[in-house]
This record gives sequence, C-alpha cells and structure tokens, in this order.
Amino acid sequence: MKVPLSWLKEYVDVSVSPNELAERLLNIGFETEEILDLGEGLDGVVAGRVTEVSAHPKNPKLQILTVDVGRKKSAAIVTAAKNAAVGESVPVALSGSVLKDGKKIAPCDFAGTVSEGMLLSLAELAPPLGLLDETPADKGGIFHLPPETVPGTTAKKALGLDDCVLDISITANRPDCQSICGIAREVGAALGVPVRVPEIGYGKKPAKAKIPAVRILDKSACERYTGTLIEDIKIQASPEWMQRRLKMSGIRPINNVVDITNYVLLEIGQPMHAFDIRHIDGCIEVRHAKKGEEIVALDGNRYALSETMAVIADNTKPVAIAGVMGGEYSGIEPDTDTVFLEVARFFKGSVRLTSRTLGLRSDSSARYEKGVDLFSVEQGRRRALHLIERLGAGHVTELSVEDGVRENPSRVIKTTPAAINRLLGIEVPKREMSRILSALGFLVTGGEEALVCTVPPYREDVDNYTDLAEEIIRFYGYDKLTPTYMETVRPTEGGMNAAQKSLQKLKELLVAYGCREVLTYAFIHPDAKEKLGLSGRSVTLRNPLSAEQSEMRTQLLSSVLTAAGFNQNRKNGEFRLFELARVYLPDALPLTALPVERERLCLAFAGKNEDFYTLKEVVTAVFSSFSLPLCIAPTKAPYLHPGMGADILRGEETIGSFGKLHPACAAAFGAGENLFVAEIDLQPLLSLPSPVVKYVPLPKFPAVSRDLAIVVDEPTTVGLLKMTIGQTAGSLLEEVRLFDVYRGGQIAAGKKSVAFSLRFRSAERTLTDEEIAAIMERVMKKLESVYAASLR
Amino acid sequence: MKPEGIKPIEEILQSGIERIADAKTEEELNRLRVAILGKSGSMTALLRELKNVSNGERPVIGRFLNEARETLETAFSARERALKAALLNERLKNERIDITIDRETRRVGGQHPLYLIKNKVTDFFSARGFMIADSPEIEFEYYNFDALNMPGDHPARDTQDTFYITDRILLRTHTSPGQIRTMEKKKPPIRMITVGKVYRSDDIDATHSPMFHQIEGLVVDKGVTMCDLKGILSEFAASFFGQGTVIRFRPSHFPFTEPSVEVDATCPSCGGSGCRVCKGTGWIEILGAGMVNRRVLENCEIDPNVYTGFAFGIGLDRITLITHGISDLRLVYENDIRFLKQFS
Repeated sequence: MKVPLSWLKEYVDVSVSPNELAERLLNIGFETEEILDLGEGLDGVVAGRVTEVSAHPKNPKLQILTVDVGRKKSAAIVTAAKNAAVGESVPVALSGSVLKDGKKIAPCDFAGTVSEGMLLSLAELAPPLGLLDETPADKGGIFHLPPETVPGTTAKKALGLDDCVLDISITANRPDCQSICGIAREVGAALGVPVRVPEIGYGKKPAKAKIPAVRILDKSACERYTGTLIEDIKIQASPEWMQRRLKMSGIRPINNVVDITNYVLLEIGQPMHAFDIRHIDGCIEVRHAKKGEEIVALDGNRYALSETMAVIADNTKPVAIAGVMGGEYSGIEPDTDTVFLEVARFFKGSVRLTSRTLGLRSDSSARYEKGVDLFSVEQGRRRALHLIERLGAGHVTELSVEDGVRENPSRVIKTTPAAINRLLGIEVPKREMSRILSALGFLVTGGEEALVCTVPPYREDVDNYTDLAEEIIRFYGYDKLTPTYMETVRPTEGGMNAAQKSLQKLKELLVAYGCREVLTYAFIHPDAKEKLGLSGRSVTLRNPLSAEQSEMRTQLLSSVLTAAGFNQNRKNGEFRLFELARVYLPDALPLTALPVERERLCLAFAGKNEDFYTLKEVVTAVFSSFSLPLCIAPTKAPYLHPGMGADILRGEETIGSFGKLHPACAAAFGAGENLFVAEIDLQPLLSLPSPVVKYVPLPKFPAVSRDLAIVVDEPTTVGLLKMTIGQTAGSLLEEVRLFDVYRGGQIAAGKKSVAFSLRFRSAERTLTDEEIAAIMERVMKKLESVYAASLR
Repeated sequence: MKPEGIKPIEEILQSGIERIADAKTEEELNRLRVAILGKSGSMTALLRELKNVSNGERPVIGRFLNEARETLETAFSARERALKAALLNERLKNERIDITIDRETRRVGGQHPLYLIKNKVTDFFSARGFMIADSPEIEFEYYNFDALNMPGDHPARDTQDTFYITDRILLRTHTSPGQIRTMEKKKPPIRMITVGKVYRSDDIDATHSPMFHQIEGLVVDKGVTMCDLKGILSEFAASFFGQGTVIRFRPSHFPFTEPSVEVDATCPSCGGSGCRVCKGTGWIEILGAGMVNRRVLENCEIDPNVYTGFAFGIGLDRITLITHGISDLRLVYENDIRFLKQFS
C-alpha cells in the first residue's frame, strides 16, 4: 500500500518524521518497505528569478544570467541554455549542493567568468513517479517554476516535492488498512491524536433519464450492489492535486470520472466502476456467467467466461466481469453524458477465482481479493458522489438503486480483562484496554470486571477475545511482555523416539566412515527412474515449476547420482556421499489416500581407493548398527553392474542393493563409470525393537588356530566355502577368516587359491591337537567332495 | 680400635664402588659383579675366610662384610639402571620421524550444514521436554489449511503458492500440519517440535527455493501465556545466536495463531548496531509465532476455554544462511563437496 504522507496528513496530524512514523507503524504490525523521498537530490536547490541576461564576453554560445536567489542575494550563472528570460522563475542548484545523480555543484570558471551554480532541467531535477511534466517553455533545457514563486523558496516546496511516499505492507487480516483512511485510523491510535473523516456530503438533482433496476442473483459472489445515476457528465482532466496523488500511488490519471473512482479506491479502499448508460440495455443483474458466454474487456481482449464466474449483465449481454474489469463498451468516452456508478461488495474468493482463471488482474480485482466491507461500500459511494459534485464532473441525481445487505448487525464481544491478561501473561489495567480499544473505534462498556466491546463495522477480522487481546498488546507494547518459563505447564518427556535416534546414530556412523551428507530436492524428472531401469507408480504434481521438479521420488539414487556427477564435473572426483531421506510410494493412482513415506539411505562412492569391497564394508557397518548381519545375493537391480552388485535380503524380501553402478546409468546421469552405489530401505530396520545385550562369559580356555589353503575352480565363491567350513567344522569352530585369494603362479588357469584361518575353542577344556586335526580333515574331505577343492 | 680383618673389606668396597661407577656397559658391569660378588669373587673369598677369624672379632667383621656386600649390590643395581636408561635414551635419540608429514588417509565425513543447524535447534528443544514428531510431507488439504483456520478462499491456498497433487492432496506448504496431527493423537500437556521439508511454488533464487525446511514448535496446556512464548524464544535465541542476543516481538498475522507475532533477534553479525546482514536495522527476523488460535484447538477437540497454547515456526534454511554467512541459498542444495566440507 503506497501512502503519500501529505494525503495521510489530510486525515491525521503526523507530528513525527517519516522514519519515526515507520517505526511506530512497525510496532503496531505494519512494516514500511520503503520510504520514497520525492525531493531527493534537491537539498541545495532554490527558486531563482532571472533579473538580467547578458552575452558571455568571450564565448558566443554562452549566456550569463543574473538570478535573484532570495534573501537579497543574487548569483551569476553561466549557461548554454537560452530558454530563460528576465522575470522567469527557475530552479537554481547553488554551489555545494549534490544532485540526485551524485553530481556536485561547485563554482566553475567559463572562459574567465565564474558560474556560481547551475540552472536545472527536468532531467536534472529527476522527480520520481513522473510527477513533473515538461511544457514547451522547458524544451530549451531549463525547467520553469510557477511564475509567482518567491525567490529563495526551496525547489522541493515550489515543486510540491517536499513530500514522501511510504510503501507499507498490510497483513492479510487487515483489508480495512488497504486505504489511506484505514492507515490514518491506525496512525491516530498509535500517535494518540484524533482522526478526521472524509467529506461525503452531496446534493441530489432530479433526473432526466431512468436508472436500470438491479438484482443480485449470485449471492455467493455479491453481498451488496448499488448504482447511482449521474447526468450531465463533463469529461475533462482531473485537477492537479488529484492527479498528483494518483501518480504518487502509482496510478496513471485518465480523466475526471475515472480518476475519482481510482482516488476513492485509494482513499477509502472501495473499488467502483462507472458505466456509460448508453451501453446498458434494460436491467442489471449480478449473476453467474452462462456457458459459452464471452466478453471483450476494457483491455481489448476477449475472455471466455465460465459458470463459476460472476458477471454484471444487462438484458442481452454481460457488461462487466464482476469486480475484475468492465466490458469494452462500458468505459467512459469523451462524449459520455450519463453514468451509472456501480459500488458493490463482491466477495474476495469469487473475485480471486475469476481473476486467476482468466489470468486478468486490475486494481479493482487486486483490492477485492483482499476483502472489502459493507462500511466501505457506503463510504466509498458517498465520497465518490461528493467528489463528482465538488469537481463539477456531473450532476448526481436522486436516482439510485441497490440490492443485497445494507449493513451487518454490529458484533459485540463480551469478555473480561482477566481473560485477556491470562492469555497475555501480564496485568494490563482495564482503563488501558478501554483507551486502546476506544482509539481504534471500538465502543467499550462494562464495569471493572467486564469488557464489552462493539466492533467497528470495518473490522471484520475481530471475532473473539483473543483478537481483542491482540489489539490491546499491539498498542500497549509487546516489549511489556516479560519472559516467563512455563512454570504452570506440566512436565513432558522430550527428545527423539527410537527410530529418530537410529537415524541420527546411522548418520554419525556414516560420517565416521568418511561419508558426506548431501541434500537434494524431493521432486525429480519423471525420466529419472527410467534412466535407472526402474518403474512403478509415483506421485505427480499437478502444477510443477518444471518437468525436472514434477514427480515425487520413489528412489534417492537418481538425485545422489546427479550430485555425484555435479562434483565429478567440477573435478571433485573423490568422495563418499550419502543421503538419508524419504521416498513417496503411492498405493494407487490417482491418490485418494496419502502415499507411504519411507526413509531410505543412498550411498555413492568414487575415487581411486574405492571398490565394491570398500562399499560393502560400510553397508555391513550400517546393518551392524541395527544389530543385523548383512544377507546378500547376486543383484537383480537394473542400475548395477550385473557381476559386481548385491541385493540385500531380509527374509524373502529385497530391501536394498549395492555395487558398481551400471555403465549405462553412469552415462545417463553424466557421472563417471567407477561409482559404487547403494540404496537401502531403512523402514524395516527402524521398526525393529532394539535388543538388550545379555552378557556372555569371557573364554577361560585358549583358542587354537589352523590355516587352510585350498585350490578351487574360479566360480566357487568364498561365501560358499566359508558356509561349508562353518557347517562341517562343528560347534568348536569360533571363527573363519579369509586371509588370501591368489591366482597365477603355480595355480592352474581357471582356478584360484583361497586361504582361511580357522579358530577353535571350547568353553570347557583346552583342545588337543588330535581333536583339531580330525576336524580339519573332515572339513577338507567335505570341501574336496563338494567343490573338488585340493589342498594347496 | 678397628679389627685387623676390616681393612681388606674396606679396600674391596672402596675400589668396587669406583669401578662400578666406571663401568661403561652392562657386560663390563656383569664381569665386575662376577669378579667381586661371584663364586670366586674377591668379596666372596673374604666371606669364606670368616671362619678363620677369632670368635671375638667374627660378629663385627661378619656384619661389616654383609653391609659392604649390600652396598655393592645396591651400587650394581643403580649403575645397571643408569646404563639401561642411557642405552634407551641413545636409541630414542636416533629414532626420529618427520611429524609434519600428513599421510593421505580417509578423512571423517560430515553432515549437511542445514542438518547440523537442525540438530542444534532440536537439541535445544529436546532438552526442554519437547518431543520430536514426524509428519507427512504429502498432506491432505485439510491438515495443511482447513484445520489451521485457513478456509477455502484463503489466498495461501492458491495454486500460485501451493503444489497440488489432487484437489485434496498437496505438498505441505509449512510444518504446521504437524500441530494438528500431534493434537489429534495426544492431549495436553503437549510440547513438541517437528522438522522437515516443506514446499512452495517459488522459483529458486538467492533466498527462495521450491523445497525448503521448517521447524514447528507447539506447547499446549492450562495457563500457557504469551510471556511463556517470549521466555522460551528468548532462551532459544541466546542459545542459538549467543549470549546477549535479545529478541523483540512485532505484531503480525497468521491464521492459526492469535495474537500473532514476528520475532526478531539482535543481529548476530553486528550485535545490534546495524550492518549489511541486518540491512542497518540491528535486527534480523528469525521466526513467526503466536498463541494457538482457538479455532485450531477446537478443530483438534481441545477445549480452548480450558487450554491455551503457543506455536512457532522457524525457517531452517534462513537461519542456516544467517549463521554461516552464506549469501546464496542455491549453494545449500547444490551439494558441491568443497562447500559441504567447510562446515564439518
């Protein structure tokens, strides 16, 4: 909301500086985003009157002007411009002043004549918002001030630029403050000064024409509709003061009638529309648009209307899109003679929906979207008619029509000072409450123990005692709230639950293993999962910003690969990345229930020291942190190298996969080939009960170790050999550890040597060499028979 | 008068002590030990001759002999220890490495800076009895809007701001639905926070992102006041931004709280005197808060005439940027390792 200070001052005396005013407004909930000083750069500029013009003795292109700059001083100014004559008023930048563009004015020698300042052009005055216009007299370079300006007057004052515009942001609950008068009410209460109200009186003349009857058919879009007939319209420019205020508020002046409607929109916050009566055929109805109906709006575009939209229609056609924009013929023309002035309350939801659906916005729709009340309908109507009369724009007739609700019953809130203080936590005295609420226009009654407030008609946001509490503390001061520490609140148990703790512990584990956490967007391109060879249902956004962000991910890998590729392309080629985040898995589409959100872990390792086994070490550690062994099988995951990947099993179910990234996927994501990745569903792990560890007595008897080196066929896996050893060696075997795999040398092609270290121990006695030898022989026999293994 | 037999003992003792001190190696010392105290050593010889000494002198000489022997043994041990220590010192003197060399081993990784900030915030509230609640990111319109007193014509529900999936299901635009889900399951006393991703239809730039993070807090019980809200947030600001940080409340508007406030903290960069970070105001906006709106309590079947509460919402991305002086939010989601490494 742009608030010219001079306009505000018409309704409330502002005795403080603009900055102080902004500070006061901030304290009551209105943030000033900008203070535009209209006179910026004009500090040393004064009005001067040219008393003498003479030729420069040496340079024929220059003139020397003697200028009366007030206080019986005059200045000699050398200038190349020739459009200033004796007796004219001109803006003089005296030595020492600094212009808006940063130019410093200093005495300057022009071929032996010192110029004591500079006469300014419109460009050099640089007024904001197009507030000054050039006249033909100014074309020669020097701008002219009004002829009667007293020399020595500041240029700011002479040009009406001793003013500023505050750009104030208004919260959504305060549509009543989307107006000069609304802000004035708040400023009055904040500064403790009375607020004036706009003049709204006008006379009514008998009418020559008839006024159309009005009916509201769509009560969900329109609560009140009024129309007034104005005759003998004289279209001309509106007065300078009105044009200037409109410009300061960012609205372009058009003509007196249109300007009045815009002026009242800004001042009272009430949009209105002036129809030329010639284009209204019969009665006026506020109704839903009919199927297939169209309208060419004032902006010249044709709009297809739908039944959700409200229109103003006459007997044959829609003449306006309710609250948004008039039809092409509804506007004011130079020859307009009779006007039907519409002032109405259209509901904000209806106007917003129509405006969004059509992609059509106007000052009117912007205002209606925030909410207009019945009070402003009547205030706005009268103010506009007052201004029409005052500006001589036409004759307000006695003919007016209306439909809908005239005013809502006034709301009364009954509460107690104690209730308000219980919410706030401090003791605001009753008389302070009354003072604040009265200043805001509330009618306050009730004894010491009660607070009975009649809410002003423009405060539709105030509904119960907590709203009153806000009004009171806003003006009483939030700084008066003293911090307290929930002494009355019962204690509660805080902190993370078991699953949250597991996730945090997992993060710390991964960090200890050198992994770095990444954070990527949860929405991805729909192609991403296909690039990984995956399919399945996923949740799609109806209104994404782009295709890249249109689908809620069902896997993390594509995002982490993108981060991996990003780093590889920046020569950060060595990394261990992890992301721990949710995936979104819908049961059925279209969604009727919320999708399941499951926690997943994704890993991506790259670098010269990384391989399948370094990744497997970390994956094993992840499972250890949940007290689980890692159970794997050769992978079926399409995004992994088929010979260098593993699926993670939990019972029958695959809950994750890890291994070397499939070269095709690496290429699809612009990542290097040597990437080792894992994606694991953590949800089954998070729901596990955490076991309580039971102590096992430490061994009393020594262990015996034996090494076993065998030669087997290449495809025989270490895992199978270990399993067979474990099953054959019996309960005395404490541990089997692989310590070497060797190929080449004396080992035949297609074979490999595998060496294990076996450790035996009994809880009851020291083992004998004979016992161990027997077990080792049994193991070897078994390996021979199952795997055709031979001792190396 | 000393008996005659003492003298040779004194001589052996005297010369023994000197030679022990002169011994340069353990071998030399051992040889000396054998020469004096060994089976055929000089001192042992004197011991053997004790039987030839007269009965009257034998106890005196015997005692003297024993004392001399002990003195020598003590000297041998001391010298042996000294020689061992000297030998060790000599060895250690030559065992020297260049301690300035860094071996290229794997470093510890790190959590993402935004989550480190999250941990800092959740630790603060956990320690004060706030449970940490989880809440879905894909949410019903009801929880995201209606239950929070944002009815059908509320501007925030517009598709310009909200990502919709169906007419009734959307990506949550704030963590506030977590309030409703908590209050539906749990009755007062409630102290909870919930943290997570939220989504709004904003193009990414230096301060906006279509996905960002919030921390929501909620306290509901009998007698909860706005002063209590100020208390916990003052404590939080001092804990998070440093002792001496002061907060102020500014009136604002949120549909789900009444009264509503924006909360500013004294700028952690300049301490309140005004700088580039706070745009010269001395204050930075850190969160929005207020007293839980009566309608929100009613929607969760909590009687607003019995219970009051407060709620607050912190922009995690924003306080991450402020804390670390990060000028562009895009860095947070780009995952450049060189950026991530700076924080852990």
